[in-house]
Amino acid sequence: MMRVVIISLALCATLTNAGQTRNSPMEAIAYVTGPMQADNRQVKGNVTFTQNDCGQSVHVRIQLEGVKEGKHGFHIHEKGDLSNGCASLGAHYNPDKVDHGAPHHEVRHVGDLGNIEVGPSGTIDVTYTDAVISLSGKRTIIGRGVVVHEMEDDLGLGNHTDSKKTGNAGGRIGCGVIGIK
Amino acid sequence: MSSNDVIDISITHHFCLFCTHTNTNPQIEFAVQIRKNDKSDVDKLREALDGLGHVEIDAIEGRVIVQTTFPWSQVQDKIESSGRRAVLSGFGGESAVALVNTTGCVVDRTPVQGAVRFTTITAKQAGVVVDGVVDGLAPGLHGFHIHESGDVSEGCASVGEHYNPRKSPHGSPDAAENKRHAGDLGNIRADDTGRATFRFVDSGLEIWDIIGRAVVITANADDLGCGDNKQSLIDGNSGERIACGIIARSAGILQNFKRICACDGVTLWDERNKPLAGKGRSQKL
Repeated sequence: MMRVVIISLALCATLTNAGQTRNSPMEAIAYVTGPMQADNRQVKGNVTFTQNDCGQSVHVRIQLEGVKEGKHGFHIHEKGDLSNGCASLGAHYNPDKVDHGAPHHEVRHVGDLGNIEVGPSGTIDVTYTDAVISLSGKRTIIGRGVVVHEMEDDLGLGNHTDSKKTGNAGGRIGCGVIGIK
Repeated sequence: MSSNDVIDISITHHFCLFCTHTNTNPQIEFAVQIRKNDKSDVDKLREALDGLGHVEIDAIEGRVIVQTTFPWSQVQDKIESSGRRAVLSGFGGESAVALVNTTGCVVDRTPVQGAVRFTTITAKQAGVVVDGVVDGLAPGLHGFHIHESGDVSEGCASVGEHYNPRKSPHGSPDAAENKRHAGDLGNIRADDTGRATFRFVDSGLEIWDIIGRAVVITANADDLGCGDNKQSLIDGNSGERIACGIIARSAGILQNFKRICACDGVTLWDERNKPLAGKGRSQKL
């Protein structure tokens, strides 16, 4: 774990030298929208990311409406290219080529942010902190895609063959590109 | 990891002292539905792409790679004119795409609709290729700029001002760094049908620096800083923002082999035939 921290700090410093200086804290936003659902609801809202400095944890605030009650997989994909839907978005952002997992697992994709749990109102406003994603350096999530899935992410623990790859969370009900705020 | 990077850089740098740049046109990769047992498909493709540049066709993988200065949209049209469906699956080296529409986000079709792609020229050469197609514009010139932010939560209004890290006045894309905003890309021209197709190189931009920001198309032409008023040195009197899109990471050639979505079983070709968003898509979900 210590080694990971040192490496990410080193990457931050390298990029700063190359001229990519940003005022801290760094902020990013994905405006998430989805198609009209059968029940005439539409997923939309903001996901904002705040990182106080290079190498520090990222605060993720998820504010959405129009989401069906229950748990929904929530992931960052490698690309933010929605020109050909999920095919051009690529896989979950996974620079280490490891198995899919839960946000708190030692083994997980960088883009595995787990599930959001939505109540009967269909709206959600939660903030949590993730120590793996970053808004700067070689592994920045800027320009990548955020996807909210139809179903629950089984966090790599299911019996389905896709469990270790995608969490088997079904189709997309909302997506957006992570932009600089 | 970091020590490997250092070694990498020193080797390539050393190598480049002895090399010259020759053909620097980026390659464009398409997934194409080539029938494996029908050789005439390949022949028709070759015929359709004749004169566009260097063409590689892999019938087994269903892949066509073209190295060209023609806009990607025209290459795609040529491929599809041979009767085979094509999807752009890789663009140059490090690349990005902005899906441009009236709202800046993925929604039902809007009056203005387009895609602008960006890629590095070569790994060692500064600058980016800007290659796009936009429909639904009034015929004539429209200002075309990169804005500092990629926040479309309030549509095109929330993407900030022209990207201007050097605090320069607004100007022409051909002007010196201190006489233009980095994001000043001049004008694009829409034809009588309302379509603008364009491809140019901007030597002042870097792909890593524009990813996560937004492109904006304006109602009026950009006077490139030559107008007679103060506004000319701010936005070239280019008027209202009529369409925008976030510059998102996309795949370079041979980087993305994904043909089917594990999550919902939708294939590349299903996606090709569906609108980018909206009712047609939701019926599939």
